[in-house]
Amino acid sequence: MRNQVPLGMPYVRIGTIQPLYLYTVHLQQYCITGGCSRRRTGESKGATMAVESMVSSVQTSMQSWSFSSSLPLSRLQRQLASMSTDNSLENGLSFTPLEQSMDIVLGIAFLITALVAARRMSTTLQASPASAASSPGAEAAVVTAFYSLILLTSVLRALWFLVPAQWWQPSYTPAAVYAWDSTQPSWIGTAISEIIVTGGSLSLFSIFILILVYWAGKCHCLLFAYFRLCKVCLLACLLVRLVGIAITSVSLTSSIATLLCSLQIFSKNTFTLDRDVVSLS
Amino acid sequence: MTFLGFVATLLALALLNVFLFLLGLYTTEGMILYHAVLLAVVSIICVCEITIFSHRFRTILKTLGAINQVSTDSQIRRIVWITLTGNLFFVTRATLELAFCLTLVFYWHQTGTVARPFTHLWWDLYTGLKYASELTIMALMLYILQSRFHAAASAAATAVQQHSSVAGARPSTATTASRPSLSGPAYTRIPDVDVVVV
Repeated sequence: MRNQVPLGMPYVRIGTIQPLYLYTVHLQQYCITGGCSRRRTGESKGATMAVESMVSSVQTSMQSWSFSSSLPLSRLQRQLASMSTDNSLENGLSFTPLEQSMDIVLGIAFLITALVAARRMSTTLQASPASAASSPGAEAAVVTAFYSLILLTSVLRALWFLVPAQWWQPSYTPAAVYAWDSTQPSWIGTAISEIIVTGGSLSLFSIFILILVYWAGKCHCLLFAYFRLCKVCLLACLLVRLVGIAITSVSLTSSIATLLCSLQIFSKNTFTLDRDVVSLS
Repeated sequence: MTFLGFVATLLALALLNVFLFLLGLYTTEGMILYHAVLLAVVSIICVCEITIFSHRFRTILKTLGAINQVSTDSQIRRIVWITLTGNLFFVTRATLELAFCLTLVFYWHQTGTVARPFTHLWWDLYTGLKYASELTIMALMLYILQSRFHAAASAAATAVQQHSSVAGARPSTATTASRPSLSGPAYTRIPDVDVVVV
């Protein structure tokens, strides 16, 4: 029973008059009628604190806009203060100012990254027809895909950070919620949040997978060219060796021929000698 | 396997996670745990592969640059930077995801539940480091590639100017003018030495 704050709980935006007033009415109805009775049991004190901080923000804003309805708000605030017995943030049911400011800073930073990536991508797309002759189309496609992935990652992250965290789930820290749980309707927001985070991570990892696949392809291409070069070298070496063998064989043949000739001459003389010896005998 | 094959595999694994969650086999904590394990494994694989391919690519570029007598220093420097930043990012990511997994498993082992394992401090630290590292790596990638694309854009502009000045006469001059001229004897022209190192 951790999800006492509804999924559609209003997100306080300081400086807008009409929504704040509506939120005040909504909070009064919510806390006095239904929500307070449950929170008195102490099941979700962090939610109480979230409501209290909202009321405080509403009151501050309304005072700054010179509204004269501070009496019911102060009563409501006292009521909520009496209910919130534990203000610890360790309940996991609230959003600290640090978390909210971190979300805003990171969201804006991711948004800037997305804008830079979009600008680069448009530049690449504009330059690609001009440089199509000097660079192959596959490389332009890789570069475009590279910037598209950076853009997609940045947009998903910026979306996740700049949408108020209260809209996704009731707590900033993760909560264990089963799907299709009617008692905990916040599972939808948590699941959507997790899907967006997963999508961003996949697109981010895809950037490096793209680089790896591209490097592997280029290595293959360059190795192929290198082997082609080696093949030329190998052919030259083979030719040289063949010539060498041929020269060696020619010289060997001539040597053998000379030897055979000399042997023949020698044997002819020997026979002659033998015949002479025989005739003498 | 091609790029689309790898991405499709990752996407299928991520969709399986959502499908198992929707079937009610585990909670959102289980979904986050599955995601963390998947990303930790992919990060470790990416560290190994990036190191191996970077080394191979640099070796080949050096060799072919020496054969063709062209300078490949800028490309090699870019590869070194991409490798360094990529490995730093993936090591950080793998460490964070493994720390997340171990925390969740130890908590479950001690208490028998994963209902409330993370304090605000822990989760803020985890979130801040994780997304700050992502932001840093993307900004660094954009920064590293800035010089390459400035050079490419200026080369393309030069090529277009030269092409327009000699329009119709010698159409191939514009394309060859932007390429670095080779000096010295080259046994075989390696056409892909001046590749785009993404």
